[in-house]
Amino acid sequence: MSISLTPLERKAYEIIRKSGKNGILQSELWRILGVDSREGSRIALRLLKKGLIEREPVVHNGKRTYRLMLKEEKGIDINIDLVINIPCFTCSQYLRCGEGSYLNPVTCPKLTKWILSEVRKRKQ
Amino acid sequence: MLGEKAGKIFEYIYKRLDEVQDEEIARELGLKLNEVRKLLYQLSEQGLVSYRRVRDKSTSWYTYYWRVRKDEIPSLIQFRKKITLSKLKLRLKAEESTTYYECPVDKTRYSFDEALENEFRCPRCGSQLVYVDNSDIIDVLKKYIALLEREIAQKG
Repeated sequence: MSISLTPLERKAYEIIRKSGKNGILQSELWRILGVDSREGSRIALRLLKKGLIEREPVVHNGKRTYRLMLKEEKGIDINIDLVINIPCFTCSQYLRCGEGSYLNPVTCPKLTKWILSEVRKRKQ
Repeated sequence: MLGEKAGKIFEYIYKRLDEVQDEEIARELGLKLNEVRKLLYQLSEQGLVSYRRVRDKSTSWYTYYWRVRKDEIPSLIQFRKKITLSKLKLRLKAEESTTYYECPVDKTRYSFDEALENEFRCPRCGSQLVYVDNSDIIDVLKKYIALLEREIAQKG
């Protein structure tokens, strides 16, 4: 999936992003952008299709419009607190490292250093 | 994973919504273009970024557009966790199956076989090697292996 935006789409995205959790009404958006409602809804639709924003239908002053908000970032649901300090996790040599090879977890000085620092932490 | 500069490049692309050209990255971060390209390729080998190549019709040069593979990151993290776990297990196996000796002077560790080969003397300084109790090391490894296994299982 390739995401490229026109300058206007980018501007619209920025406005929606700055509007935070509550989002912004589509009718407000096109007024800020200085385009008509038709163009405004097209921009919103394109951003929606690109998976950048979400919308929910609302009624504002008796007129139907949409509330636009940034799509919740997926994939942020990761936890690396446990592993980030273990050198193997970020080691660029992990493919070359293994049993019987020159680089291996048994003699790796980086891993040894980490283990010993953990041992010291436990003793304290 | 690949050093500080690669981290900066990754962060720069990550913060950008769409694709970025390598020239722009080099300019904005004040790095050499060839260096940026090298690091970008390394990042793409790790599956963190990907590129789209466009050929300029008049010059027939390629322009590269880079972006972060956000959707790939969780599975990549999971993969690296599994790798880490396997390394820790290898280490644990070795620590449990062998006794270790060390030189009291330079603290180099030798396995039982290595120590035996050198008649329990340090090959460098000739000091008498001493037995090391690695039960703490085993405890630490076991603890992390258990924690990692649980974490990996949770993600499915």
